[in-house]
Amino acid sequence: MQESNEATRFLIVLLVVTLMTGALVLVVKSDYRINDNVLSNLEYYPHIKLDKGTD
Amino acid sequence: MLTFIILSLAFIGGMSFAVITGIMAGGVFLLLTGVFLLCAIIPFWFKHGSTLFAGGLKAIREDDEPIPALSMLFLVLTLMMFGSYRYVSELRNDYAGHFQTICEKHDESATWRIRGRVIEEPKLRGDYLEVLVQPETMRRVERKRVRVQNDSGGKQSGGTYESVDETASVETVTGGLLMVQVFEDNEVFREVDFNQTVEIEGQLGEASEKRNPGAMDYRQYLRNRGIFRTVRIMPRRAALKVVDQQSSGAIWYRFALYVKNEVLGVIKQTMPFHESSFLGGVLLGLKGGLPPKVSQEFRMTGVSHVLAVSGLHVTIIAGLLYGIFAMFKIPLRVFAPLIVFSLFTFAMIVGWPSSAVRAALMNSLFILSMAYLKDTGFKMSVLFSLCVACDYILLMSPLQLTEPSFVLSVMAIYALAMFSEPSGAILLRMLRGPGLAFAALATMGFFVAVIVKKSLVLHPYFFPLTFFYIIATCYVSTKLSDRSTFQSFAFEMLPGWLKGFLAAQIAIFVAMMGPLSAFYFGQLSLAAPVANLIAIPLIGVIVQIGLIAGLIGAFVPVIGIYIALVLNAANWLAVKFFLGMASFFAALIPFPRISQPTFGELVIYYLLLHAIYFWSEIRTWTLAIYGAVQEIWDDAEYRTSLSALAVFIMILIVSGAVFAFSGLERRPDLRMTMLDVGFGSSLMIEAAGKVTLVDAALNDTLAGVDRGERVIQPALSGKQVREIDAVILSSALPERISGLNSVMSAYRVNKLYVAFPLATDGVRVNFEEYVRLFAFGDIKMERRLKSGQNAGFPPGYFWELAYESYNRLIEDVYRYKTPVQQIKAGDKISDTGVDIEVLHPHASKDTFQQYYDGLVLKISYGSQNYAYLSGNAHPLADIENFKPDFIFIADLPYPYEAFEKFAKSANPAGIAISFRFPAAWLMENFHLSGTISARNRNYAPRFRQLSFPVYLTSEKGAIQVDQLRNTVYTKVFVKE
Repeated sequence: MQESNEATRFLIVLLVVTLMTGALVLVVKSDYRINDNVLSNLEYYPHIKLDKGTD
Repeated sequence: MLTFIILSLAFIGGMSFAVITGIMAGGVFLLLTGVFLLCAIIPFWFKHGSTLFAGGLKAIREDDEPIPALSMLFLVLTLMMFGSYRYVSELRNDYAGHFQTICEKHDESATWRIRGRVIEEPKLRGDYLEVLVQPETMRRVERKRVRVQNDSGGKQSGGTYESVDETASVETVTGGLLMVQVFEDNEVFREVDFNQTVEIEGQLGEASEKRNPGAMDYRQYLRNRGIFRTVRIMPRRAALKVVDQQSSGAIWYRFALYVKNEVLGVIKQTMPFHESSFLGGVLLGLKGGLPPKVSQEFRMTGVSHVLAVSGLHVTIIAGLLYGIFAMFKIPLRVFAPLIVFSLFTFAMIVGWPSSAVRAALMNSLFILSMAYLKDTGFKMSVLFSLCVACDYILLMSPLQLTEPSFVLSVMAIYALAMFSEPSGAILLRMLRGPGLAFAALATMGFFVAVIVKKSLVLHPYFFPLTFFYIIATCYVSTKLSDRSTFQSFAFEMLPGWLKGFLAAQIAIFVAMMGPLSAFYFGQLSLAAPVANLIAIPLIGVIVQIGLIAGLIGAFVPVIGIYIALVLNAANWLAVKFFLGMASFFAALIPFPRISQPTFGELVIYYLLLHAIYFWSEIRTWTLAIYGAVQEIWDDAEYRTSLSALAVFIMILIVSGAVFAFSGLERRPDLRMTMLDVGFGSSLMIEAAGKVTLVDAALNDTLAGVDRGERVIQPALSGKQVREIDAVILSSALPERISGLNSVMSAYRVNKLYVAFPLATDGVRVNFEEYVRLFAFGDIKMERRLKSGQNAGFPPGYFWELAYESYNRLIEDVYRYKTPVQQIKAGDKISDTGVDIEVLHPHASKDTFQQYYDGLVLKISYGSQNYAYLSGNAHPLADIENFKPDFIFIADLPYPYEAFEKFAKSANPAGIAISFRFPAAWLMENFHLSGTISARNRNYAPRFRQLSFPVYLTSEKGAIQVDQLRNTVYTKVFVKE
């Protein structure tokens, strides 16, 4: 029981910290956007069709 | 549980027996399996027969000895024989209908039309897709050239076209796979997919077998995966078309692929390239797209295991799912099957590699036992799970047993289960107060030393001395800790998870990474223990965030992709840090070569390791067995049986020893190996415990192929060479000298002999100086210089490569302080274990003619003589009274007539020629390609007319010439 509580706490802390850091990256780095990412990944597994998500 | 573990070990032991002995008697193994099984049943029947009839299964289970000892013994033998049978039966590919059998019936140049099914998702490998096809039918395609007479013209206007003969019968294929390489300039590159029926037309090829000492046998590697032929789909060579897309069947696998593609789509939208390729690699097992430099840095820092989706990844995902379900207060009994389903789906997503399957099985068993069974102890549970996983994988694919990836994956878990706890105990005792301070200082001192003076790792005794340094550090630290009462700083004060992690790292390094990396790859990453301290926790975070982001982005409508963007933006920082960390350690800490231990040495290492780690347990068991034997011996009734058993065991040991020694090769007095280095040359001479290298092959920087690293280093490592006593360079051509750069970075060269001028001050020469020093026979360049113009820039890739190689050589001899001596006719080299006399060139001149001033060497050992020619046969006319017993040539000899006269008068036992047609880009703008291709065509029939054998490395692979007393033996690596 104690182990599962620890795992849950770790997961929640990880998610909160990640969301805050991610938001900070998006604010600071103006070229970190979906369209830019799609463009830079054009040659990476090109057979994967991207039909959703633009900003 | 213990019984199952013993029987599993017997099964694996039986397979290993078949591998080691090479006995192919499948029928005998199967017969013995039946006989031993019958023998196992009889004692069991005698003891439990009546109970069994009465339906008393529970009574049997509760018996003190449910399986009688004799039955157990025969069960072990049964499983051993079955293991041997299973391995041998998998090797069979000679039955009618097998892909290999059908292909072997026809000549290699046959064109085939094959219809088959794509059995797994294509994998991106550089610029091509690797597609695995299960052939169903195949038909030989006969192509005939038919002349068509044009009405308006005569003979000249008549064209030809190819007619396909469809009369050849269709053959049904019942076994064996075809590997298709689809290059990106084909339209089908974007079409081909899992579960399609495809039709392939073209010539089939067989993968290259072992061509050099210490090299990998790629053919055997593919055969272990069930692949027997390959075909490259390229315009005008072979074609592939998609015939049908099957939408039924393999629902689970299709679901896994759907999830994979959706998550990959999210990664592509939420993380820029090339960080996305790293996340795709660690999360989905997609290795394509990662820059080669990054892969190399990962190898150098010992963290490339994160890219091979392994137990680490599966365990991280199991932990994540466990945490998510626990967060919602769902009972373990409910979500345990869901975790099991997810883990196997993940194994499918990453391509069902043995490491992921093993990990999925083990984690599943562990979680299921936690949910539904009583606790049986961690170590026993892990060993039991490991046995189940190994049994399943080896039963399905027995040939995996010899695959490094399988062995590494299994041994990693074994090391964690068996050695983590004792490693923790050692650290606990060793790292306290002054002991901890001493160990920290000693470790820091070691790393500072190898960072500041990188050439230390080239010392021939670097690894043995490091081993003793570690032992001494452990001993002194333990003594200091034992004497000290100082408790303020100690390993035991660390948090539990950190103690466990550090102990696991030590266990992995001593029981898996260190010995097996040396055994399989001949390399040992010194940075690995430090880099993995950061890499493993970091990869845990990256995989967990990546998976959460991927699933939310893929399956939460509208806002999912934006949440994924935020999550992966943070993950991008972690990925950047990971890549930077690998790059930092790769630049900081050297990555030396290590002598590859033999199988016997590896076994001895593991025996010693177990003896050190489990000394008290081994001692207790030994004393107990000794006591039991003594007790039986005291009873006169059993003395005869015990003596018979002792004799039987002795016979087994002696037979094993005789078998092992009979497999050992008798060491020749002299061994000369002309390595197959492609275009270029390299001859390795081993005599009197010394190793000499004549020429060092090509490092083609444009193609990214360094033969020094790929061929010469593994050959040296496989022969357990610690240093090179001498390197002789016959000419400054790039195909002779450029490979030396990487060789010198891994091995100390005691002396360098060169036929051309070479500065030792480390100062690079400019192109003008270079051109005036070396003549390449480039008419354009000579005209340019004669007309008073300067040399300008290197006019082509070959010039550039030659110029850069020469300058690197200057820098290397300065960096490693290698003594250099320029040699000419009449000089003798005697510090190489053989006597080498230089016969050509006669004198040092201002300009070195690359093709005409190359060395001619006379190599003598005992009463035998050998010749090494750099390719130019002109000087042979002036050489008298030299009749070599074997001739080595670094290139096709020119002019042939001069060479033929010399060879016929010598009548050697054979001639070995290092030749392969150079790559097109190498000879671009250089006027030799025509000459070389013409020579290549003309020489083959001429060689056949000679009365002694002529071996070309392009056909025969490496050519090994041994001298044992006064007899010369020749061996070629490619026998067909």
